[in-house]
Amino acid sequence: MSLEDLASKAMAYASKLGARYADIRIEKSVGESFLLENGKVEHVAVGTDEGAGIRALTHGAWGFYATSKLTENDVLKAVELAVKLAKASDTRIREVVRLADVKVVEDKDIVKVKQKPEDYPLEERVKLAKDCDSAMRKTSDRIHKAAVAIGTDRLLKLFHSTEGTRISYDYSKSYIRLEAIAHQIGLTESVGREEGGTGGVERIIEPDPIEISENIAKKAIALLKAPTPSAERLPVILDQDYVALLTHEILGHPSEADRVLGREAAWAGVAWWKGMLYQQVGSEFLNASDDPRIEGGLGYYRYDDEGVPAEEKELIKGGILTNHMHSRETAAIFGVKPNAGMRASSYRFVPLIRMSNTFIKPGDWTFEEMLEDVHRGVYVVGNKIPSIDMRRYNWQISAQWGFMIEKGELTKLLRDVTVAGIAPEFFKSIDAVGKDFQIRPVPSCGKGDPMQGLHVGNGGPHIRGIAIVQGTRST
Amino acid sequence: MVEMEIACSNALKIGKSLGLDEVEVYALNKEVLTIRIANSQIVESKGIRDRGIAIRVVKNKAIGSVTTTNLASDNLKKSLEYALASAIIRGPAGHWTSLPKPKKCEKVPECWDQRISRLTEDEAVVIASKMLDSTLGSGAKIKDVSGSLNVVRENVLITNSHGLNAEEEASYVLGTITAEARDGSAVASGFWFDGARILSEFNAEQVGINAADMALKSLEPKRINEDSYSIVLTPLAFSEVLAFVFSSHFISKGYQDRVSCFYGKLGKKIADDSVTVYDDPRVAGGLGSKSFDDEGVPSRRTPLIEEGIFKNLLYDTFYASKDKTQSTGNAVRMGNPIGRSYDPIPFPVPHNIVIKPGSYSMEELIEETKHGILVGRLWYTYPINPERGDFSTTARSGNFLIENGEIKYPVGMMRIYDNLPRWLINVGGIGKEAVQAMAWHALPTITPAVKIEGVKAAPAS
Repeated sequence: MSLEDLASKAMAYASKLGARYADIRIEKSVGESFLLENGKVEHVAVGTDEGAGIRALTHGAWGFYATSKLTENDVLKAVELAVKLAKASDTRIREVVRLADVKVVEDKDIVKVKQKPEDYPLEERVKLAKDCDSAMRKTSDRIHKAAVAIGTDRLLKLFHSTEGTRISYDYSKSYIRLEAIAHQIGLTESVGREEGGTGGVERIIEPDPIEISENIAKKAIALLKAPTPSAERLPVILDQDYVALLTHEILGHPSEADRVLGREAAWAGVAWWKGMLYQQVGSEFLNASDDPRIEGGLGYYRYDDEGVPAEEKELIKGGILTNHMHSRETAAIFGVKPNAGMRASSYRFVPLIRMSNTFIKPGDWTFEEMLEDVHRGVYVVGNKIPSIDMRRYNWQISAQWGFMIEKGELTKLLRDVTVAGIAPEFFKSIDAVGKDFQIRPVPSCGKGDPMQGLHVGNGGPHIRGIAIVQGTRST
Repeated sequence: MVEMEIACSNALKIGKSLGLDEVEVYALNKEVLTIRIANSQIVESKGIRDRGIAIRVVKNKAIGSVTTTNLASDNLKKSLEYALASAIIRGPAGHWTSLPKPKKCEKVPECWDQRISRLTEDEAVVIASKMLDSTLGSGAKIKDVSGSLNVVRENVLITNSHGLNAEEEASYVLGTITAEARDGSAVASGFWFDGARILSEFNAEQVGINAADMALKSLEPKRINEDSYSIVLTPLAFSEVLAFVFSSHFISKGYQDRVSCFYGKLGKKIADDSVTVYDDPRVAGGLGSKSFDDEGVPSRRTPLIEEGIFKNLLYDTFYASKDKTQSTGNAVRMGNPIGRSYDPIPFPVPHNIVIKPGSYSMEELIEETKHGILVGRLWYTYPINPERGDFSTTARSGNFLIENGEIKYPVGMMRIYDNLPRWLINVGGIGKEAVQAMAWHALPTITPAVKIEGVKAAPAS
């Protein structure tokens, strides 16, 4: 039986068992990755995965079951269990799930690939990694470790629903991660850079990873001699990478309507701007959207995991909160049009409202114009690790490095830089937005229970605002 | 498990026919049931039956790894051939010694329960309902309840070409509730977690009662002043620090890379004399307990810190061979939400991080605090400058000001930005009652309450 026939049969069976709505995702995927450290491949791994996940509504609540066996018997058994679990949940539901109407779709969604991963053999990938490694380690003997990870994934997916939607997907993703660790007595500094997105080998080799390798190694060495900043509230200019993670944490996550409704309160958290639609949440310069259709972004798709056609979701316009990311269920609750926000990290998991490519929109400032106005501040470059409260209100995110800005010029390099703030205060302090827009890969976003890790794209241009800059707490 | 045994046997035979020096075949059969509570109702019940294998092949010290869910013989052959081809391109790992040889593995008691293994979907909903009802039943001011029940049962089989053949069944039940209390405009949240390997050890009602209790006691919080405090962390709160900040610094890989904040301090004092920490996968009923690790090495207790002295790193076979030492039995393929997975490459990770209890009751920890805060739950505790040991966290729930040995009143959320080496040296007291605690998508821990002196905290809202 073909997978299309299996999906159709599963949906017919779900209806027969009493599901008023059901959908199925059948997936087959292959992933290849390796990690090269100091010129030697540390690990190489290949994974093939296949299975199906079925979602069902009988009366009021969701049931879901997934299987990693793609035989007809196993998939139909999973349909039975999904329906059974929906009925089990129905005993304790008060608010019956309603789904906003969407058009029935039959389509294909294929990621454009310039250079196919299968035409880029492992030997060539390892050679590229060794060239990157060499570029890092030749910089200085204080580069204690150079690491290069390269991976490609291909996913073939089918989505069928009992409403008649049938979509097939063919997605490719390629990525490279570079890290240089510098060490001298008593001090270790690391600088990392991630490149990649949906597409083929072009996502690995453009921009030139060897040039990036050399640059990050030089920066790691320079940081060994750099001072760490003292705590101070200052004007900051944030680069596109820092803006990507900041947007992800304090703008993207609270835009997920399930969080706004308190449905993730026990896990990923809630949203500080609950009940604030159409209110001013930032300065007039702040405009933000989520758009899955950006080709190359790690969050690319044309249809979400409910089969809803992707569109730009305008989240903030002129500082006013205008919309959230929605599922069909939350769109019905808010009385708005569904906007294709649902994704699962694989067939194993139920879809959740997730970011796709979420970003701050470009303005009309050049970086030089932003610098000119700053008498004393910090230029914050790259992102490391975030710590955010559960409302996405109070945040602290570490940067790869920073520079002091004095009288409109970049001066001292700074290490161990963290930036902290309160979301609405920071958004309202934004007084300049650059025109140098970028979508950056954010390879790990976690949500749900059990946790689902997902690749997303985030980004924006340089932005300028006011925040608290701090250095290390170590003595 | 017959299907997995056949797949393991087939893969070993294919490996032999390919002339491999060593082959490891790791097979996992796992079912997870999750009942999800949100907005004070059960909104979703879901499950997965997942099974797959991970294979490692070794030829002339070159190692390749593959994982697959397709267990047909022709696919296994293709997978092994691909793993071998990639191993050859990888080249030899000169330090590699060998996959583990068979050794006797003693079972850890209370890690598998027939009742959990046979629990039905309807029974799981009943248990989740008890968690929900006990929360709502704790008072009219409890207005919103969310949380989940996870029931996990799994069976692992590890075989290798040295004749290793290790099999183990495991069961888990995890419950968590976040309760929101409201009284007029006052809002406060409470949280509780319970986890067990045996159903009779899991107290569904108490999860809800304790979460509601924390929320109700936290109503009408006052804003703290930015200041230096003695922080008394409950076991649930300290568990976050252990899982997300502490653990990575004791993993051999990080130490080899010199990114551990304790690099160069092995054998030296890194903590107050009162601090003793183990990784102990042999605790009866421990959430991370197992009789062997994820490459079949018998599990054992490994001291990490003894009376303040940094004693050991955690190793799997691969990283142990780099340091010319033995595995500590810490090869882990971490499962979701708990237990094992069939990830292609194991990595050294603690199983159960155990803090040796001290002599203080919770009352005594508070009585001996002049100016402090009791913290019930931390949130998003991450090492934002990992090489330095810097971390940042939000004290989210169950925060109470302590003045002159007495709890005065609830206080609001606060941000703490501090440093792990500083915390370990500034331990001001360790509780005598250790409990199992595990944060969201975190490592299992067994810890009492711990007091840290001189922590700067600032209001977070």
